[in-house]
Amino acid sequence: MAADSQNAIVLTPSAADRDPVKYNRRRRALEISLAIAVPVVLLIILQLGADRKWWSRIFYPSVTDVVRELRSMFVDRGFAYDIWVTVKRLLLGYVFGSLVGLLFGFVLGLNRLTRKALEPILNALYTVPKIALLSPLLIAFGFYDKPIVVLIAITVFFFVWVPTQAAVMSVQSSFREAATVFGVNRWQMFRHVMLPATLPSIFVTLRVAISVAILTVIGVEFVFAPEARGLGYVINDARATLTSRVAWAGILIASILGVSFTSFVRLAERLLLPWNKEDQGSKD
Amino acid sequence: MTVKIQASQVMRYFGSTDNRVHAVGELNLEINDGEFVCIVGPSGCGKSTFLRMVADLIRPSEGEVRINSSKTRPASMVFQDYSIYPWKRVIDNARFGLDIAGVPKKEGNERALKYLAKLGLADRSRSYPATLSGGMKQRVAIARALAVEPEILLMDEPFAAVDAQLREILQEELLALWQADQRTVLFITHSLDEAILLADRVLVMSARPGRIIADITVPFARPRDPSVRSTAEFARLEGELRELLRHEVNSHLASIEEK
Repeated sequence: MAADSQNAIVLTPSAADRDPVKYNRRRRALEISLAIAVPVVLLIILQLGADRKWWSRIFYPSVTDVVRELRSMFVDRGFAYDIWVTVKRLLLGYVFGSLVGLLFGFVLGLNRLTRKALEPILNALYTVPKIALLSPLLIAFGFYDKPIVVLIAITVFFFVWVPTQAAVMSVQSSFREAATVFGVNRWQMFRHVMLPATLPSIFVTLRVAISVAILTVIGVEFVFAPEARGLGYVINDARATLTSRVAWAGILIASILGVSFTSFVRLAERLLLPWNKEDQGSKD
Repeated sequence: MTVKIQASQVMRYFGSTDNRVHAVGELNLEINDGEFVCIVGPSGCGKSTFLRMVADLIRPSEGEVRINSSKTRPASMVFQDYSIYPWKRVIDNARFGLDIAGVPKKEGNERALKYLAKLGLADRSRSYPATLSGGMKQRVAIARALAVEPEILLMDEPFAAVDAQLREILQEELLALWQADQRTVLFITHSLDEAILLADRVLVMSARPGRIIADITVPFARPRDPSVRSTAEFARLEGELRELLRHEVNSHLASIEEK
């Protein structure tokens, strides 16, 4: 019988089971410190590599170089104005494009006839590289901000329309039927069922669309920048002056823009969707 | 007794003409006001299709379904997959039908809460459905359907997704609720035991195309207690229904093999 007990598999509580409170606290502390430590370590490596000449400072400037450059850009060329014109184009294009994309997503998702009428055309346009539209848009809207905003809006529109329509069409049929049996009208169906049912995937879409909008605005400003201003213009211009510091400074600002907008959309999501599962774990 | 639901020569087909499936019919039946009717039948026999016709979610392809009521929406429905809204709190889910009917929110809350309380959910009224168990979710769905005090309650395998013990509890709750106001109930189930326990009449449907092949009156008195399960009469009825259904399923399988 003794041999039996030696060959047994013994299952006992793990550390997480013995003291869940302490375990979770430690785990959380570890996660937060990792989230801070990894970027800090990367920055230190970037700094050290440039300082100790592990690589060429010309191509990959140190962190302090970039920060110094950034400061002089703000002072000497009024970099804040470059950022402002880019943000303005970005926001206008993003908001218009998203709104129209949502509208089309819902109308086409809910109404079969509209879908049959418009979907073939939209599908044909979907794969057109939108940047190719720049020249005709410039000619049509004049050589200033408007064509840039329109181009961003068109790009964002397609990114929002397609997933929104898919989300609308995949709403659980019994959600709709339950409302139908109670005799809802079109507006009530939208407000009580279709909109809340699709909001979680719409928010994912809206977050993805931010990066698309930033890509477009920077890309357009590479080739067309009224008054030689804008974040994209500055990054692209570094090529002419062979100052990679300037390009890196611009890229840094672009990524900060992206992070800020995404956090803003996330915040809106958390406020608007209190029932979404992600949050509930922490409450209960 | 007055007739509440009457189906005359009802047929229902699905699909286009060259690929048409004959799902239901010919169906002729009458359901009286205040009657609790269970429909049993093999899978895919068109039970749910008939229920959806009564709910006006789909129309018959031929014939007519007549519902004697002065209201435009006399029925409410409980679905198998709960279909309560995850974005609404329990109380808002239960009040949904009343909101749509234009009942003032205060009165709506009181009525919704009354039914939630009857189903033991009063203390969870502020919760979101994601925090509830399956049985609780189905109770919310039942409260939502009852809160509008419908003339007809349609239930499409409402207890199919809950476990056996919970199912018995929910059956007892439903018996008590029905006893209190005796609405017309049309209840679809696969469980013969459930059908006999709950119903005044059990309708047995054939394999597709679904027709009524038996209309059995359940003899047990009301108010009914789950203890009737242990009577010999209950076992006899269950056996009779089982035999009818077995025959139906076998002939259906045979017809598939021939094809």
